[in-house]
Amino acid sequence: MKFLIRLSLVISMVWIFSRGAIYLLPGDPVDYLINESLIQISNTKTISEIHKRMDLDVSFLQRISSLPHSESLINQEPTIPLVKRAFFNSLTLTTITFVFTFFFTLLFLYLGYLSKRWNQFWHAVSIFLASVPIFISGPILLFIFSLKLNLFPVTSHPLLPALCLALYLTGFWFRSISQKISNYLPQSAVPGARARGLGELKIFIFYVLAPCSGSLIRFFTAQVGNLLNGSLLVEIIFQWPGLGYLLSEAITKRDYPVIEVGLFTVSLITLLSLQIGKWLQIKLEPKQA
Amino acid sequence: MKFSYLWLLFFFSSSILALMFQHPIQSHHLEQALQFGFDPFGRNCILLSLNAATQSFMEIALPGLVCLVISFLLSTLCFIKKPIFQFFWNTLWETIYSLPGFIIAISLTAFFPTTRLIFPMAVLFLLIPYLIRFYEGQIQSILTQEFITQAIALGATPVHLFRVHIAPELFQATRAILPFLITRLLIIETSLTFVGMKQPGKITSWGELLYMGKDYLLEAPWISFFTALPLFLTIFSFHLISKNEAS
Repeated sequence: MKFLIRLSLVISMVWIFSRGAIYLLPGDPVDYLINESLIQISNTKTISEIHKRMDLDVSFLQRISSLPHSESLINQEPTIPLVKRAFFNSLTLTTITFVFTFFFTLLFLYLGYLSKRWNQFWHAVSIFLASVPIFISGPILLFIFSLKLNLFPVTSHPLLPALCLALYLTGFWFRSISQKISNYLPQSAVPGARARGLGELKIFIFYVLAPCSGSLIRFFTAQVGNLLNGSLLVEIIFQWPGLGYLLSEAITKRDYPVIEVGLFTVSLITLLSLQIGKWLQIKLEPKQA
Repeated sequence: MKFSYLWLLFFFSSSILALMFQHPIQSHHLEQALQFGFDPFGRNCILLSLNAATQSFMEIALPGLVCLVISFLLSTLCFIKKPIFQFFWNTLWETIYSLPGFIIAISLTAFFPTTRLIFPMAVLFLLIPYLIRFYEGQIQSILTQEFITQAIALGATPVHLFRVHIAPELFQATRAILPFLITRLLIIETSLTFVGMKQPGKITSWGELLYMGKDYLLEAPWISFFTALPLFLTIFSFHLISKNEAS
């Protein structure tokens, strides 16, 4: 009950922030919109009309208790389908990134688990990968795979941005997970499993990874929000039409209804993924949680 | 490890020396072929990159310090054990964690473009939630130690507990996290500038150079190379130091 109250309170606070942040902007937001983004708006609609469309002529309480305007101010497209499309694009990118990162991390972990010397090597590789920021690796990958080798198109293909993001994240995931595993290993049942003659891969999956699954799942679910949020830079570099790209474009053009809906969507997904992770950890590892 | 310290020592001393050799901006070279090692304005890319390093570190120093102090002070509030306060405190932080930090940082820099104070504010917004979570975790783990239970049994007040037992441990933890924090700050600063969301300063920073370099990636790849390489080596060195501190 307490959890539900807190969750609804957090969702309402995120909603209030998404709808109310416009009041924090300096000056009249509509003036900025007309001056900075699209001049044709001023030709077709008067300032007061835009004020009305953006619910700026009502009080703060009325504004936060109403839904945002359903159309984008710039291209007049309905906001919800626009955000929904961008969300599914982001989800595609996030899923491919997740699969790549998961695969690379598990591969590094398994190879590192097999021998101590290799473990040192994979640690060095992970530090190397984590040290190449996306704005460096992105253009390099574009240059090699799209311009020189011509394997992927420069834009609108999710594999290259996903690979770029996955390489960067593998560096961090490997270090975090190997830290969790090395904390757990001294008290694990690995020696017993080895004595029973089980294969190393089986031991790795069932006696090393499975007992830490609760904290690993919590870590992964926390990463969903980070991925949706952190893929912004990748989406800008590779011009992938995801949520981050949509939001950055909307911010530059001051398309307030799209910003409001997009911001609320990203926050809600992050919040829900965090809560699901917490709940799963409680179910899987009640003592640890 | 030795590599990290040697690189940082070499790099910072050369960056400071490079400040003496700042090139004045010359006429735009676009009509002529770009010379190897020079940017479109005729400036030496190596010197420019070294100058940019100083600028980037100057940009991140103050926001980083302010973040540390604010987070340190705010995290002490987790000592207040009143359930109602804890409820609202946790709700507030859950809200902040779920907000997309980078998008809000970009919004801040886009909507308040006239003041240079906005960049430090964006950094505060991105880093404080992370640091508070880190400090709170540290405090919670210290509070479960046996010596704390014994100190409480001997009648230690919360202020005494904090001053004598918790603050020194937190300083140690801060020392351990500092290299990682610097890399995070560098990446935030460079990312925000790279997407063109930061007011340019008097001296070009790493992000501004990379932003310029991406337009000349085919004609003059050395602009990006001479910027990306020292940036990568610096982040790599700080990561190595961070790993060493953590172990």
